[in-house]
Amino acid sequence: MLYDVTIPDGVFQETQHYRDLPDAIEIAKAAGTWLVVKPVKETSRLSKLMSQKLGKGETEAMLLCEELHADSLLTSDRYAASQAEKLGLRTMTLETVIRDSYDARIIGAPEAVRLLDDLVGQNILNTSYLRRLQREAREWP
Amino acid sequence: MAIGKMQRYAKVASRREVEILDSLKEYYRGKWSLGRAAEAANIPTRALMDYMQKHKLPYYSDRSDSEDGLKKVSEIRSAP
Repeated sequence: MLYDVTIPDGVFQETQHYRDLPDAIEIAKAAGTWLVVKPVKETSRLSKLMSQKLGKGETEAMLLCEELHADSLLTSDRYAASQAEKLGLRTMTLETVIRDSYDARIIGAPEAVRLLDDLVGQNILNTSYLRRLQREAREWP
Repeated sequence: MAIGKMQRYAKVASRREVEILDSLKEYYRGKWSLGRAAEAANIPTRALMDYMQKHKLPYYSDRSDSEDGLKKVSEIRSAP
C-alpha cells in the first residue's frame, strides 16, 4: 500500500452525517480495513486551535497528525494547510496522492487522466491545481 | 394562512443562504477553513460541499480559485 491512512473520530463523524450517500457508505466500509479511525488523545488544545478559524474535524486531524508523528496531513483546504504548517506539520494534497500513485506505478498515465477527468468533472474539484495536473498527466509516458 | 407559512419558510431559507454565502466569502478570502465556514453557517461540512457542488464553486487551491469563488458568490447573492 502507498500510505497508511488514519483519520480522527471527528472527521469520520463528519463523513457519516448523511449515511446514505455513496461516499459515506464507502468510508464506513473502509473503516477498519485500509482506513484507520482513531480518537485524539490530546483534546486540551482543541478549542485553542479551533479559535484560529478552523473546523473541529480539521483541528482533530492536525492534533492526531502530531500524536502519531505522521509523515503528512492530507488536506485540500489551503487555509487549513497554512495553519498546519505553522504547527510544523507537512501537508499534502490530492495532487500529491495522484503523482505518488503514478510514480509508484500503482496507476498508469491513462488511469491518472481518467481519474483527473472525473475529479475535475465534479464542480467542487474543478480547481486550478487539478486542472494543471490534468494537462500535465496527458503528457505522461 | 398557507401563504404566510410559505413566506416564513422562504425567509428562513433565504437567511440560511445568506449565512452560507457570508461564510464562503470568508473561506475564499483565505480567512477561514472550509470546516470553519460550515460551522459558522451552522450546517454540516458535507452540506456546504453539496452547496458548492450545486453552484459550481471550487475548493480554494490557489488565487484563481479564490477569485472565481468570490465572483460566483457575488453572482449568487445578486441573483433575483
